[in-house]
Amino acid sequence: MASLYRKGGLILKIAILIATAVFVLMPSVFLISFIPVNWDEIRYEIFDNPIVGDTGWKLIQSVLIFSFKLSILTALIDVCLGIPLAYILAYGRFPGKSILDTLVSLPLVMPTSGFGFATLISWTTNLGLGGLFGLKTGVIDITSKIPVVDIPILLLLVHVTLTLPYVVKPLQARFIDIKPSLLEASRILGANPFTSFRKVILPLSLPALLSGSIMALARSLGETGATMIVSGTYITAAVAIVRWEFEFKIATASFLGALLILSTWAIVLPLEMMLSRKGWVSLPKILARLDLERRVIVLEEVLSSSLSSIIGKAFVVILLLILVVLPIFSTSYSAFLYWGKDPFTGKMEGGILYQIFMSPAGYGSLLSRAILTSFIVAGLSTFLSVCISIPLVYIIEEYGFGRVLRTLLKIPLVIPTSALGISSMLLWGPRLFNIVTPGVWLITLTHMTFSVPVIVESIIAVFEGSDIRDCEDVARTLGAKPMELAELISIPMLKRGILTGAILSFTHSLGETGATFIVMGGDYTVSTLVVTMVESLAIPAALFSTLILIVFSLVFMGIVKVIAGE
Amino acid sequence: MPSVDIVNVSKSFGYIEALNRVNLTVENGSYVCLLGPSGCGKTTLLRIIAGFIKPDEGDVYIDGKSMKGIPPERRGIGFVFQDIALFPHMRLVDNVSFGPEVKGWCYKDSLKTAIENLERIGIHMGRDAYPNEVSGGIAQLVSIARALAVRSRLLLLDEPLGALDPKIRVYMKYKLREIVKGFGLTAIHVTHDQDEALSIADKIVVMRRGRILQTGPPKELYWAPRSLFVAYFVGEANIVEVVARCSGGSYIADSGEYKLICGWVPAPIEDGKRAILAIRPEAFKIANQDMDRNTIKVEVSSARRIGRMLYLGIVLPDGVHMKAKIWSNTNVEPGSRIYVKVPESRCFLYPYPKAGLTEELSPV
Repeated sequence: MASLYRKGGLILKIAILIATAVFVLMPSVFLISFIPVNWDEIRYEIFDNPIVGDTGWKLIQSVLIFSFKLSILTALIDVCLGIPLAYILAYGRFPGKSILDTLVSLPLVMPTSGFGFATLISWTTNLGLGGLFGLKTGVIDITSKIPVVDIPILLLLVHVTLTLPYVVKPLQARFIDIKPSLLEASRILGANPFTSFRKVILPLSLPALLSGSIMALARSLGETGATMIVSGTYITAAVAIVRWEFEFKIATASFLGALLILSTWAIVLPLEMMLSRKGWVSLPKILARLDLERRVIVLEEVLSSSLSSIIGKAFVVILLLILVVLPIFSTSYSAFLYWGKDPFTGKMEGGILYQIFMSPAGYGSLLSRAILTSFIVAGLSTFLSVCISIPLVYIIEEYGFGRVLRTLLKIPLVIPTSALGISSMLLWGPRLFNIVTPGVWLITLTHMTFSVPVIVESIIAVFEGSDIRDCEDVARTLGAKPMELAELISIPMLKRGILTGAILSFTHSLGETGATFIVMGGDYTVSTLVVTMVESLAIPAALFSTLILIVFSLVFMGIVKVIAGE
Repeated sequence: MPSVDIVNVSKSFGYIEALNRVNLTVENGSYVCLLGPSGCGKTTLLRIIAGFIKPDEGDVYIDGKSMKGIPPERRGIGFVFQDIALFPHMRLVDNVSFGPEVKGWCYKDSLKTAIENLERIGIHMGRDAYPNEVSGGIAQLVSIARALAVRSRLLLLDEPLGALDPKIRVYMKYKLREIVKGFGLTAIHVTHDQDEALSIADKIVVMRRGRILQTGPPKELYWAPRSLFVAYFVGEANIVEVVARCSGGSYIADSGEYKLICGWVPAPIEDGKRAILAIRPEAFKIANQDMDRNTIKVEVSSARRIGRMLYLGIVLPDGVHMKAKIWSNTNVEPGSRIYVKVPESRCFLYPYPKAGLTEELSPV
């Protein structure tokens, strides 16, 4: 019997590793093999076209440059806003802190296309901020841009909001982790709060800050859903992949996707390897050596005063309200106005009721089908991913190669999803397996690629924070068989991690746009439908769908909070 | 050398009353230990002096100056933490020069002071190591050097030996006193270890449930404890229930089988009432015969000798077991019967606690 269990265990482990390789790792690397294998095709389409020459290459260069400009700027702003925000959330004590905490993480569960549309409405129409100030138009135009760097303001706003939690959350966790006595030691030795932050807290949390901002950069680089809605005439690399795939420029899209994947790796992997070694960074004492320290401290003394700290707090709170809450309110308000008829023309055809339930375009049935598709895909991919993830966590924790595996699993989380989508399509479709064509099944397979890492990470968080190993050993000495062990000890103890991971992966799948566009064929999900509605200027229908998405994500956020609070 | 005055300080955390109208004066240059079981409010009191916590009521005066509204960084206090709290990202020498640096000293002076302080405390090598590369004892010494580098004259120590190995603790506790006296500092040291307090403090403050029970030099606390809890918590005490007899101004503890005249009765007890007799193991002496006052015949249940010290388990005539620690050359065999004498002044008699004995002696 015992040997059977051992054999069964080994077979299970190998099966799980193969499943991980096929469903998670292969889609994220397959696209790279496209370059050498299809070099002739790429050269013909991009570099050496008989008709347009190397226009393709020039296009690729320009979208890449624009994308990197945008995401680097986004990450920089995230850092500037994220540090004070994380500080307040970690150390501050004030009423409404838990609400602020929820608001910060809301963009994590919000479907980006819906959020992009909501932001568009609140900034560029008088239904949002413009109306609040009594203007006839929005506060800014969709084409308004920041002069020197040539980036649309609205696009930057959306990217900052959507990526801010990737900086704030790890930084906040790190701040809380730092022993309070270190901060107290610094204070009692004569450092004011600001100096203490610079000299003690910041060096100790620099790794968290760095990996958070790299994550933010990667997410911004790959953001598709909201970008397609607010970018106007500009085009980012991630969106370009989707557009070009629609124009059947498969080689160009794939080449750009492969470049994106490679450059993301180049940024993320070395950092990941480097940072996981040491928990902190020691900085050279440049200021002290230059004898500038005293002047800096005088400045910090002023910044530490209670007045400036109140101003700082108020600033981030207001900022968060504007970035996160305002779009939700303006969308709800607009939906209310547009319910029966278009508020400006008075036409019934411009109202939500007509567009959704009566219009010949059939948005109502499209929407209900999309909701069904979304839920089937999210539910199925989450379920399958959970099945792979639980044993995978054990493999990661048990073997030496687990650390490498864990790092590899982060790849699908950082590479642009549209590149992932095209990679999945080529892998399962014509270029390798040739078994799945675009549609519900391919969406499910694609979403599994990032669902598994999301679930694995949250299970590991619970696993490493508990003494589950000891409990399992105790149960084994008491005579529990492997199946009983899983049923009575492991699953109940990991329940919180599994549930949190499942909900995160579910919302992730619900909100995913970039990859879904490429692999969905005719099966729209809600997020992609919102983009399509905006592009075909069916504003009331888009409003209604966005509202539904927002309601879903708020509900899921609530569930996550309840589970986490248990 | 500063003095510290704590006036009417109260502090609650939610429903828990950590400090209840505490008054305490710490004189210039003295080494004071705040001693008490966990949760008695001693650490809270220390953190209020440092300014990490604001008191709900009352005020702290350092050198006669009110500390109300003054943040910790402007109090000029040295603080030594239980978890050592060296900055892990700085070398030892940078840890020590941290204080001077943030006070705006120039780089050279900061570094010089840091090295001087490390050397005064006995660390001559390995200044460039990181805190995780040295032992706990060294790390705690460095953290003391760090606290002293800004020339603070008041040193607060929050269970400074708590994180160290037992062997190093013994060495460190004398080292601590040596440093405090050598630098001419005033020190307030929080501990729950009565041995530690008895061996290093000039003055011990015993706290329980947010109140100060007794303040005095170690010897006074040991031989004149004003409450049963202090007698029990500081050092060791044999405790037995007796009946109090009061005649002609002197008290007698009557167990039925034997009578002992008690010289230390801090609170009045009515004649014939239940009372608690407390005797320190060191109070016993071996007597030759039953002639003296306060001499009892006991049976030896166990005997162990370490050097000239005899550790005895004795059974009194009424069957009560007691521990005795006697400085003697006489050999005593288990099972034998001997006479022991307890000097009158070493017999403590307390009224029977109203809330019951278990409650009175409970460490929380």
